[in-house]
Amino acid sequence: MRWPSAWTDPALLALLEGTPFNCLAMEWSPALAAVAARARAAGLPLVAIGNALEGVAHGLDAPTDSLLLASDAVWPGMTAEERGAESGPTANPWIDSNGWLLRLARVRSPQKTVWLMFQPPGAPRVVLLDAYLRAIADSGAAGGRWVVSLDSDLQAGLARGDAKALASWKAIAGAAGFFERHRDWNAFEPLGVVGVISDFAGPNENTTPEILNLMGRRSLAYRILETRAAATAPLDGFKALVYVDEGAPAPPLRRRLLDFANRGGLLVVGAGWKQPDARPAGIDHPRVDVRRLGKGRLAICKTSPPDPFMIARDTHMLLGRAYDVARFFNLSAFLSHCSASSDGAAELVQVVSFAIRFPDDVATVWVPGKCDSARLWSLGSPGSSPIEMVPENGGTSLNLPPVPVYAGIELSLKRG
Amino acid sequence: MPDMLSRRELLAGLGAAGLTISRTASARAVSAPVAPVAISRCRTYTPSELTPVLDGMFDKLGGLGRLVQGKTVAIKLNFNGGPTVRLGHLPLGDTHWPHPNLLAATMQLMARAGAYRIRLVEGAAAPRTDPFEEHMLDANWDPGMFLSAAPRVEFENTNYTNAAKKFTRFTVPNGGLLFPAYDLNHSYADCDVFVSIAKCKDHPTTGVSTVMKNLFGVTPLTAYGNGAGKWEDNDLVYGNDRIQILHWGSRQPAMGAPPEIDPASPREDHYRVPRVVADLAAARPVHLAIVDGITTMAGGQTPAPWCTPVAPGFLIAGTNVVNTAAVAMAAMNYDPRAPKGTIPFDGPDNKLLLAEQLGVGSADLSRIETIGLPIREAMFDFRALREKRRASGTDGPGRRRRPMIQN
Repeated sequence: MRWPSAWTDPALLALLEGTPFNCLAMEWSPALAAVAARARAAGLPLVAIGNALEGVAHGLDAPTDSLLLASDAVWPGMTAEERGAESGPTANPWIDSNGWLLRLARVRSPQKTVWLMFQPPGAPRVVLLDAYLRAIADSGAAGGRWVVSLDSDLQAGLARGDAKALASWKAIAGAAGFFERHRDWNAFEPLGVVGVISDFAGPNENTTPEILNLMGRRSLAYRILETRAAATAPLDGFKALVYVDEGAPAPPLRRRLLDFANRGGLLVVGAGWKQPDARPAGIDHPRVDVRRLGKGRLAICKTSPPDPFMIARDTHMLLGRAYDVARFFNLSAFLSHCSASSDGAAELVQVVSFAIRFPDDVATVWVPGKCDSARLWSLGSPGSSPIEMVPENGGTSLNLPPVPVYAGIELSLKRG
Repeated sequence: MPDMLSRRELLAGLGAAGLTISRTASARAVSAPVAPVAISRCRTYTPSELTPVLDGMFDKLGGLGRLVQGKTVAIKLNFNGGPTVRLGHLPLGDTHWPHPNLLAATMQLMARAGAYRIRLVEGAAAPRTDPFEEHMLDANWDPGMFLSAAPRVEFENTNYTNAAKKFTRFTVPNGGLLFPAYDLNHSYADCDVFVSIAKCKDHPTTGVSTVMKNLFGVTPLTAYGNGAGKWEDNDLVYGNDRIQILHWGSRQPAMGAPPEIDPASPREDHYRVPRVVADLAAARPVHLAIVDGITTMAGGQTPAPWCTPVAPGFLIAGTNVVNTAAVAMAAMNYDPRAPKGTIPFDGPDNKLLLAEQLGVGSADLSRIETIGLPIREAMFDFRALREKRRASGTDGPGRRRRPMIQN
């Protein structure tokens, strides 16, 4: 956790007892010398943040190579405007999330634990307990970790021993501990038949990450392929590939992408892509020129750079919901992460809900296929509980209780 | 059974409610058309049980062949609310959308009766570029079961002009109550046979929602929706309801659709929405109306905490939409001639009587022949559930559902 600068009393270290917080990120100041000394004596690692050089000079550790610290993360939640949640053109509220960032970081540095540094919003926003739990779950469900950082109200409440603040602290620690206990889930591979290929850098560093973000928002399960890897990675499991980076791909990658489309895949490419041999598909579409290519389709964006929101939704619609990894009901503003163990024996559907729902608003997750077992993990519950499974539309509906913040569903599924 | 009102009582009640009926209109009401309405017991959507029941009902109405042979049929679905919103865990077809098996069975019987083409039509709150089938998949329906139900099956999202590039104007006979005419998707004009299939439900704005209220959704969002006129340059529908223009009258329709007759008329949805529904029933006549009362929900049109799943176990079908709606209301233990101010029209005007006034069909049960199961045997007491909700403070006229965020 990020040790608050205002907590200069070493006695506050007692709050860490019985929690999963085993390392303190500290922005050095002389007022924290006593805290640092007592923490060191207790064997707690101290990592310098902020002016790290000064911290290191005073005995704090520099971040180790095994950690990847991302400092440009956002506070997860629905973006608030004066008159309510901000909406896109389809009236879905906007969600700030770090899920795509963590997914990308894990692809780039699979051996490292990815930690996010972000802080709660300041006054006048009041940070409720659920917002902390969402922040933890948003990172944890995507396989990363948040360096838990407390807002000034909670810091003050804990410092004076306020009962409500202590209850919140216990729940926050419980949520962080939940994802620590399920570290094995991090080894699961993301599911999804849509591949997003990009170098995610330079002129593409805004567009393609935003495509990931917005695909996640509409529960379009995707997998990330960095451009270099895409030249050699197997493409068999994909039904659609999105390559909208500026500039033409290297000839080998271009050949692979065209081969993918010719064999029946959907290839979504940027406006600069030239393919005179592809014949029009006869679809009147305002944003993409859809063409037939062999057994598959080529969708060429009409604008450059393309609108990430439109790329996400148009890819989903051109591909079709028939390939949905899961469908979600009575969950409005939410994000999902679907993954599977390497042998495919176990699947995991994680849901982070950002909406305030009616207390009795139960949710349903439908998965295509026959489910042998399904168990629900919730934050704050000591163990998992069985989920009612109902056959529906050739698949299985999983009947969940209300999902105020998070649901982790472990499945044994034979996909249809 | 609900008490029947005499014509004199009816006029007195309506007059007190501020609804004035001209002498011509009252004459139309008295002579409004009637046609038989079939009622059957059916407690399951299992095709082997459902299809024979439905087939028998159509036979009692004179046979489907007479209606659809060689014809293009448009079936207006009843997709209200977002496709991912459920009442509890129940699939949409069990509560507030017509059940997919009922739709498929209807289509199969129509195909068997020689229908040339069947087009499923709905104003789906989805962008123009979204295939309509995707809207069904979003609700976890399998469009394949409809595509295989008849030889030529098409889907049309009627929120857009689509291939026709323009809407078709439907003029309301005898002038209309709120609008003189409505601009609708070409599919409502291209069809030879127009079918309305809907659940029987309570409704906060019009009292009851069945095969008549279903027609409200034929109005395209691009002309009558909250975002009408704001998003014409692309294919996204902003907002997914018709609150501003049709409910509240806070502005006039977009895309050149005719403005309302009297801009000084009440800006109040209990006045306006029933008139829009009656206008549409007159402007776009329904040839076959099917009420899905096998399972449905009480308390509202779309899922809300105070709604209850119910299983009335009946099907109702008729060739006159007002007659059919009247019988459905009676089977819900509501008086189809109830005046404004009485259950279920506590707030709104009675849209059946308004349609009757337009000469669409009679809401007078004493004039409507029912075939099959008697109403009293089919009846499921929605009224009692409504009174129970009201007594417990969880329902009431004018209570508005807190808007749920749509995905």
